[in-house]
Amino acid sequence: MTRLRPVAASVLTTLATLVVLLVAWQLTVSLSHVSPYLTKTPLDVVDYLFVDGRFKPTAAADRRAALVPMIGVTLMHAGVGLACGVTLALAGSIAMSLSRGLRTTFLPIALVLQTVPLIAMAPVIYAVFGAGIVTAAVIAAIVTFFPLLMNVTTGLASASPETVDLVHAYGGGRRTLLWRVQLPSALPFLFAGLKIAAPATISAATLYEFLFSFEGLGANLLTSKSYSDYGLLWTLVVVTIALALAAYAVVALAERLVLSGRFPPPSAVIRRGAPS
Amino acid sequence: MTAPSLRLARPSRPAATAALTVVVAIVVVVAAWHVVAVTFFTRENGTPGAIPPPVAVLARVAQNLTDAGYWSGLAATAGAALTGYAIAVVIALVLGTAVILIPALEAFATQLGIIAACIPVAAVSPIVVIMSPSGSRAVSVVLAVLAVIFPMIIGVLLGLRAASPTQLDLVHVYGGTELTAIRRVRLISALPALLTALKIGAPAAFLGAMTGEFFAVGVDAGMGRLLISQQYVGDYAGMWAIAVLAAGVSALGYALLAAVAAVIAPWTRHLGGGAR
Repeated sequence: MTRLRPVAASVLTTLATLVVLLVAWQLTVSLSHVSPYLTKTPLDVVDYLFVDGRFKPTAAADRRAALVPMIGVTLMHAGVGLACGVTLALAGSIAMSLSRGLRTTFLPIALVLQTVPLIAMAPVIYAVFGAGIVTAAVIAAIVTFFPLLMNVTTGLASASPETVDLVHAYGGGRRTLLWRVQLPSALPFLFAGLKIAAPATISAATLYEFLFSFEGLGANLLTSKSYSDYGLLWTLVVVTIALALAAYAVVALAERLVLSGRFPPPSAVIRRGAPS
Repeated sequence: MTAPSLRLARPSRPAATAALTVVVAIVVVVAAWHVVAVTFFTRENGTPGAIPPPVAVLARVAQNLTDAGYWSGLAATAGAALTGYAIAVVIALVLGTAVILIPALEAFATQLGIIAACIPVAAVSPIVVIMSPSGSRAVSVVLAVLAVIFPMIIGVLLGLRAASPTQLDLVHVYGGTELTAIRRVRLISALPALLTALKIGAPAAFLGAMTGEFFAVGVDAGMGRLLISQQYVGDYAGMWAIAVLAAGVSALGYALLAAVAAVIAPWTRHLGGGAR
């Protein structure tokens, strides 16, 4: 039970923050003179999802059913990208931890590469890989790769010298050291990286869909705006943001459950970087 | 950022050798880039394809730098980025002041930052566009704010916590007021975290402003718009040149703030942090 108490507390804070934001949104729209045709409130979004008649198509169930495939496509784009990014970043970090030469050579290059703006390279990635899941995955993988590579590399090097000595004293080799000491001590760093990477992949996937595709949440955000279907537009905005927040929440929850009791308070390394 | 090396690692090589390795690695990467570009990405008429050779890109960068159109585009995007940056800094400082007055708000401020960092750009941009007049750079400004606000809030909160209780007690024991404590202790100890956040925020703001131009309606100047127009005509060397220029501007913003930080708080000089 003690393990769940901090989780409950942080869930409550998050819910309270979200409620404050939703109330602020509702009040801003109700009290100002913005056009109710363009601007929808949280209550309108609830109506869109659950109340028949106000929006098109008439049945709320039909509107919800139309959302499901969009969410599915976006989740697939983001999921494939996240999986690729995590795998590559782990492999890269382990390689750099095993070979000092690799680390001194490629870490500075990785630092330089991550300053190249993704939005500028997206058209090039599109030109090379064409339309489809590969491009979506590459874009989502790039936003995952750099924060994870930096965090996990730092994490693998963060094992305390005492534990490293202990493994050596008992005759453990490089692999034992990696498996028993370095990887466990990199876990908090891995989660810190994932907390940035998971919502960022949702953001990258929707950005890809918006720029280059006709399916998924990102593309429908664009088309619903062109068709002036503002009920759908605002609902999609809520759904997309909710997905990104859920991705963060899942990682944060997994972090609490995996790390609590096993490590001293999670030394949360806050890696900078916003989804771009 | 630099991780403590494991004890088993060999003593570090002299800095000169390390620098040489990096230079060699960069040369290898650029050479590989050239070979790939020439072998696989040259069009039938001999012009560069999706991946142009490095020399062509650099020549294009040099050519762009003599073009007044690029300078005005750069200024337009940088203007939106600066506005967003300033707004984000003000919001973070207001939140920080609120947290000093009511410490219970700290969890709320952190959550707000996390939510801002999670929001996908494709979700927030269309609603900013429909609510702002045509030709407005509001999307660029909002995306710059969202990109900067998370590192800024975290920086401010870390800065607030940096003052040691002993130092604060000392001020109070000698009869200093809360104001003296803020002026003499809190501000000084908050500087390192604040300056790091300011440095990280500069490239993020430019990137956010550039991304915003992909969504804006009726805006025809800016780095993002230049990129879009080159995408239409398939001018890949031009697109790569813009990526290089954008990375350069971001790095310049970072370096400028680092220089300012070195002057007003020389003891924070060792604090790094890449850009993204």
